[in-house]
Amino acid sequence: MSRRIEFAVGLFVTVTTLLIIASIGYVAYMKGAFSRVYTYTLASKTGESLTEGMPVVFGGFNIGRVSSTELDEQGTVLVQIAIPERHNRVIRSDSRFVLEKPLIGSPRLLVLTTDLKGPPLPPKPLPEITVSSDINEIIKRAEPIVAKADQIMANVARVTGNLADPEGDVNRILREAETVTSRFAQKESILEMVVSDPKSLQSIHASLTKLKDISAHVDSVLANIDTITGKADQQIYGQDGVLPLVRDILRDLVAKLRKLDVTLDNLNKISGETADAAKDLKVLRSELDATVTAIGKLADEIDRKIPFKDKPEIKLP
Amino acid sequence: MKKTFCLLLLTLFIGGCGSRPAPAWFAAGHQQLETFKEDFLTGGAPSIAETHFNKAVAEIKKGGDLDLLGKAWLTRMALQVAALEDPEEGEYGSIAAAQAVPANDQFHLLLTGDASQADGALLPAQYRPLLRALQSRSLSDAETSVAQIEDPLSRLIAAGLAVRAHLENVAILQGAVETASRNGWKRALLAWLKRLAAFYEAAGQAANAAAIRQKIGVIEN
Repeated sequence: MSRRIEFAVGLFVTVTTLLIIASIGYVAYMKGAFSRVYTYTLASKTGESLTEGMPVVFGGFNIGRVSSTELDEQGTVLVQIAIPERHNRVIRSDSRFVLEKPLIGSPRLLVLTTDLKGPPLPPKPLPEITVSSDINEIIKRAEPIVAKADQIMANVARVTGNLADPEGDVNRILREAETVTSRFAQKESILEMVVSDPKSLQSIHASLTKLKDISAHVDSVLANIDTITGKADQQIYGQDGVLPLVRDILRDLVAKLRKLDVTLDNLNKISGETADAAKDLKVLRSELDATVTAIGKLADEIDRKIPFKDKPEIKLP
Repeated sequence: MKKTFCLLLLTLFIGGCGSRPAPAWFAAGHQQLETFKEDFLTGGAPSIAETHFNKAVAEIKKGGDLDLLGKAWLTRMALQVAALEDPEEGEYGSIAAAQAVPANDQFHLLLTGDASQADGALLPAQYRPLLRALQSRSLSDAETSVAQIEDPLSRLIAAGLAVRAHLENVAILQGAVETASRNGWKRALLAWLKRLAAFYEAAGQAANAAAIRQKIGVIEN
């Protein structure tokens, strides 16, 4: 009885041991512990960022590692990489080796091979490792461009800031224009009193409608100013840009208001005998004058602020 | 969002480079020179005006264009003439020696008072009638030619050239005063008012001279 127990225990221990050994062997085999390892020697001008154990990567997969680094008599850094047999097919004669130094993360050695069916990499001459710190270089190159972009953004913001500001000159003047036109529109009864000609009244109403359309147009442009400030400066300052558009609209507005001005002059003459109506019309007239002057100044200011509307030229004064 | 905006802006900026805008040094040089002109004429702090001029020169030197560099120095000299000051050549001599630009050389001759040697065909068009007046020593022609110049700065420079050639009368001086006044060029205005006062004094018109001096006192304070 005791012998049978001893045999069973011995068998269990033996089988377990064999299973453990087999598992370790299998894992080692799968890890390539028994496969042949190819060693390649590469040359580098600098050993900076090259460390033993650094992964060798092809197509995003680790295919080996840096096994050693040493300095030869000429001062060249010799880098040995160990590539297991199953990955050796990617190391070909046209392979290039790039030390990638990413902005974030550890450096790694990239293998770039175009022709996977090409001949194997010959031992001589030693392939040279090139260094790529693309992101850093791009950042360095981008810095002055970003600075310029910032400058452009600042200019755009400065020029358009006034247009976008609800309390800025443009909006203030538009509000004034709106006040004038709305008050003018409400004066229909007074106008009817002093103007017996229905055609004149229709003409005034037509002008007012146009004026309101223009004001609405300017408002919509102004409402979009915020969203356009990030766009290319050509869209702001160019021939068909927003600022010249605003300028043209304002000029149009001034022209329309001046037409109304003439009409009002006539009304003043006609209404000379109607004291109250004339008083109202004089108030309108003064408001109109102030608005025309303000809009004219604004149009000139916008015109002046549009940088380089003409190509800059350095010439004799 | 901010990153996206910056990237978009960057992309658009780089894309916009395809339209071949003026080089950065040129645009900066032009801007600095324009600021210098404004500061000089309006009587801004001399050190600030000079700083703008030096920056303009430094920017233009980046491009190595000696024609433009010469024009910058000639602009400075012309402004000094417009403000009735003696034009200082600065680096113009060495620039002209390194690369002769006929148009610049002729303008330099005009500014430095050697009008008889200047070739009108190479001068800016607005100065050609004045050059003929200077060469013929005709005061009335000088007055007419100055008055006919549309650009205010050129008109002031022309008036300065006429005065330097001893061709001056009340009309030329008052015209220059009016030009400087209308444009808010205080430094030039004071110079021309002083010249006008001196002219009245020399002509025995003490009351006019006193009135002008009084005006100068008010403006200066």
